[in-house]
Amino acid sequence: MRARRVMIMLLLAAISALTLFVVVLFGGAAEAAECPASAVPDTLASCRDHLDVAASGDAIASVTVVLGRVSSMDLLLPCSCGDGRGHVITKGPAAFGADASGAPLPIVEVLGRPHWNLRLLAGAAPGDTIVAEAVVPGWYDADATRREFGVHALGRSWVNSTPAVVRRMELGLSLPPGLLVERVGATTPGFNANRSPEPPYRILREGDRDVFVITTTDLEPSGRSAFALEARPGRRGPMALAVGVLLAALYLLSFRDVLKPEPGR
Amino acid sequence: MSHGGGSAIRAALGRIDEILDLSRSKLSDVPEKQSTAGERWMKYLGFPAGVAAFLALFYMPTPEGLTTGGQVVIACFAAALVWWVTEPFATYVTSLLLMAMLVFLNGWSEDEVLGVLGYSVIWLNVLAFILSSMLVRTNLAKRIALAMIVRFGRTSKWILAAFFALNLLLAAFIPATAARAAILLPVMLVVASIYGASNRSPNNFGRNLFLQNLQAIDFGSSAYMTGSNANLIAVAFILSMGGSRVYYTDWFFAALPVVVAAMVISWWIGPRFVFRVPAEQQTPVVEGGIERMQEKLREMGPVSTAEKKAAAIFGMVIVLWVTDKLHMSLFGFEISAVMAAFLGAVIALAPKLGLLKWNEADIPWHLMLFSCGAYAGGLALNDTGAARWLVDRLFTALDIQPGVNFWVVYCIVIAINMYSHIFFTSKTMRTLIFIPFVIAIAQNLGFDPLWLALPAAFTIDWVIALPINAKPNIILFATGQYSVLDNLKYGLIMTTVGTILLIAAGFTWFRVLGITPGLP
Repeated sequence: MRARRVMIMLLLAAISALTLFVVVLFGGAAEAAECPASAVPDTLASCRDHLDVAASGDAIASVTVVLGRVSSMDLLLPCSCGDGRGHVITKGPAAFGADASGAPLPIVEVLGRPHWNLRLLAGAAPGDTIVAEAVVPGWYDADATRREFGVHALGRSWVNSTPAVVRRMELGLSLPPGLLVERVGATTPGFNANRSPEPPYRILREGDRDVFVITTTDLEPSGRSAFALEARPGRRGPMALAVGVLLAALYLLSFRDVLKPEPGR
Repeated sequence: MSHGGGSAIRAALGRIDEILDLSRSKLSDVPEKQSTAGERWMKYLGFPAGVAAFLALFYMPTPEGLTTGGQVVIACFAAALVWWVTEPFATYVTSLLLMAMLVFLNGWSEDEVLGVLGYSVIWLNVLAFILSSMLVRTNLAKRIALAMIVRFGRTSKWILAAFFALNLLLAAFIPATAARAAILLPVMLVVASIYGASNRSPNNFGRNLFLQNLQAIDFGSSAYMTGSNANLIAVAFILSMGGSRVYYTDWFFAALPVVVAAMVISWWIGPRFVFRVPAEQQTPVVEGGIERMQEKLREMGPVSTAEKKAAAIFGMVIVLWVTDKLHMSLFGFEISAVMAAFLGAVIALAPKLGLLKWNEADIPWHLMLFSCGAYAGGLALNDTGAARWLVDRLFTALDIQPGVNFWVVYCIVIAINMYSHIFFTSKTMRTLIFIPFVIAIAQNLGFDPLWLALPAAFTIDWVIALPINAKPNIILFATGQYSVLDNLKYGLIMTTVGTILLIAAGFTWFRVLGITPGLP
């Protein structure tokens, strides 16, 4: 009887030890699968994606990247210049990737969207700056973007399709000459005056046009930066002036009786 | 403005029953007002002046950082401000015109402009008038007013002092300023009537009574950290951006003496210098004086069932207002000031249970439209970033550089924060824009942010210059007892007094408390 009890206890102890071993072994493996060896994500210290729109509607797209920690030599960055021409890298230790024949291929499609096809050169290091540019014909069409009150709807969106965290992302747009920002629509990140004293965007002036820049910090992979604007010509028509002067003159003429004391006074 | 006719008023309103019958001067009536020669000229030139202000701002080159939409809103708001003050047409017409201009000039969208009528601030005003009507209808307001008059009202100065004290007390418990205005409004109406002031024949006692109450309700809030939500937002900014925690007692001991001094000064200068109260308005216009009113109070007999019900309904609303911080733990949700008033109004208007028929609810809808325009303008200034841009430009233009003497910066910050309220329709908005700027300035100049930010926070509740500046201002303006110009005149005088007091406190009292630098 006693021997049987001891046997049962030994059996239970063995089962417990085996269970513990399995849990430790496979649990650890599962944890390891979730967290690859390179647990530190790639980073870009900053990325500035800007569109400079000319009066003709053509735009110069430029991207300026400051490298952070990068584990791959291929750097595919979303771009707004899929149909562009004149792609060029103006600065930094990078070249365009090549196709099968070895010819430079500045733009590639990733998930149906155009991307800059940058390949870092040997020796590229954190802190290096890379600048690439291209011309985008017909980015802005005044007739197609015109809305009520003669404003033009403009906007940009940038989705971080890289595996890197972008520490500081600046998405910008230099409006066509003569156009100024009428209203800032939806932005990502949004602006809630109750939570933050400062909006995430700035409106700068260059000559006779506005430059809109929205800044996002620590933009994670698949994170988004975007804005929608209404813009209008900086010169205002004479209608308001004519109506205002006419109404003021009519009032002065028609309301002279206001100056007379009220009856009974 | 009409300053006189005390004996005529006595003759006309000598009978106490007529005086206490508030249905004779309903708030929803818009009586014609008599105006002085100067006011008539302002009225005549006000419209073209507003048009000129609009055109100048509308056609100026759009400055950097400002959207063209923001520029439109600034132009429209400036024109409306000129028209509200000069009154070439009624204030509510100016509001409607402002709303139309915002839409037609693409300053703010139609949906947003029209949506202002549904904002909680408008609802709170409507509900406050319903509750106030209930107190008037059931004679509870009359009883309270008579009791106050009998106790304190032998002369006008003591009844005015009693209202200041009452306001200071209420501010400790009820953070919603509109709620305080709603509580006091019916009592003020009866007291004004007893001293011969009505919307059809306003007098200087009435001007002092309503404008001093406006001030007491507004800047009375700055005595307490919990006096308004804007105060708490400022404290949160001082902690999150400035790194200093402000406790209730820090605020209380610093701000209370300033508020009490301001109240005493206002009480003293108002009836003597601002709106001089002639001898005939310094005592009740009722024949038989206080004794007759004591008699009238006795004649009212014991508190009626209707009065008890009114007191219970209003008491419930006040309890909900006072206990707002406990709602989450008691009910699992929070009952806002508006919804508390909503509950009270529903009960007051309920058949059989309630005390009021819809036709008896005296709601000045013209004032609601006036409020809508003011809020639409203010919110559009905020939404388009125009208000933030203006403040940014103002501080940039001052070009305060490191090395400047702290007290110069202190005086500038206090003055700007004080006088800026004239152009804002919301304390919260002003706090959200100004306090971060003040903290940033302090940090740039190497000062402890608390030195500037806390005294700047004490200016938040000083919203006393115009009816558009705050909710209670609109509620009291509905009484028709004073003009926009009267409000502006007294408001600017007291804003100057407040600025001087806060600057003087900065040099003395705040130093003792360690809020401003100087003493070890």
